[in-house]
Amino acid sequence: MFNAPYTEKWVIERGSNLCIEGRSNINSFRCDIKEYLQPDTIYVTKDRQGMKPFPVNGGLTIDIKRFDCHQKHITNDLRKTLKADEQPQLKIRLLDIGYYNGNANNIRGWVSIELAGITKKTVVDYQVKHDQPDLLLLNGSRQLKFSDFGLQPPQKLAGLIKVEEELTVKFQLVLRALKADTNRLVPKND
Amino acid sequence: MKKVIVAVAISTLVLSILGITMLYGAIYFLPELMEEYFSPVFRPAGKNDWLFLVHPLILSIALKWFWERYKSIFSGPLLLKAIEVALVYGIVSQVPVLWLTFGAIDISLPMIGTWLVYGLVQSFAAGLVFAKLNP
Repeated sequence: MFNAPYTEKWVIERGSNLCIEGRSNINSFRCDIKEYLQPDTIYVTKDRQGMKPFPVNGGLTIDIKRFDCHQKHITNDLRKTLKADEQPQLKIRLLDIGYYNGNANNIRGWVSIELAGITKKTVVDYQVKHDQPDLLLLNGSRQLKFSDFGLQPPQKLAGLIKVEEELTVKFQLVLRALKADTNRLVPKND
Repeated sequence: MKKVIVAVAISTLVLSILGITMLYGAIYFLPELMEEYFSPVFRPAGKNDWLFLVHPLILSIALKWFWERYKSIFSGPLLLKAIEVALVYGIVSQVPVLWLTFGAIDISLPMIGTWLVYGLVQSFAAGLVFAKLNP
C-alpha cells in the first residue's frame, strides 16, 4: 500500500512557451508562442520503487496561427507550410519522462507530436527544475525535419531561396501542482 | 545561324552565372531584403521552376534580336556599346515593366531596385558578348 503508484496533477502555466528554430539560406529564424493560454493538465504517475521513467498523461495543444517568426514573410510562409488552415493545431503529448528527484539535467522522455495530420513519437531531452514543491519547470528540445511530417520546407526561385530541412523545437513548460492525488491508478494514455 | 546560336549560348551561360552570383551576393549583403522572397507573391519552387530558370535564355534571345536589328546605331569601343545596350534595355524595357510591377504587386521598392540592377548588369554583359562576337 505504501509503495503503490501515485499521480501528481500539474497545470500548465501561462509563462510556458514553445519555439521553433530553423534556418534558411538567407538567415536563421525563431518562431515563438509567447503565451500559452490553454489550461491543460499533465498527470505524472510516480512509483516509489526503483528509478523507472514516470508515465505522463497530457500535453500541449498549440494554434499554429499564433506562431510569430518576427519576420512577416517567414511567419506567413511557415504557417502555410505547416498547413495551418487545414490542420491548425500542433499537439505535443507527453508520454513519459525519465526518473528525476529534484533538479536534473539530461533527462530523456518520450513525446508524441501531431503536426499537419501526422503523429510522430520521439525522444526529447529535458532539464527539470523542481526547486519548489508546487512548481516544476520542464525545458525540452528536439530536432525534427519537415519531412518527418510529410512537409516540404519553403522554397522560392526554383529552390535558390530555401528553408533548411531541420527544425529545433524547444519548449519550456511551467507546471504548477494542483494537488497530490495519492494511491491512484496510472492514467491511461490515449 | 551557327554564329547566332553560339552567341546566344555564350550569353545564356554568362547571364546565368551572373544572375546566380548577384542573387547570392544580395543574400550575403542584403539578407533582410532577400527575406521578401518568402512572400506569398512569389511562387513556391515546383513544377514551374523552368519558367524562372530559362530567363537568361529568353533575355539572351531578345537582346540578340535587338543587337542584330540595331547594332548599326551603336558606335565606339566595346564597353561603350555594352553600356548603351544596358541603358536602352533598362530605360525602354525594364523601367516601365518594373513600374507596373511595383504598382500592381505588393513588392518593396528596394526589391524592385535590385531587379533593375540585375537587368542592367545582365544586359551590359549580353551587350559585351554580342559586340565582341558579332560586331
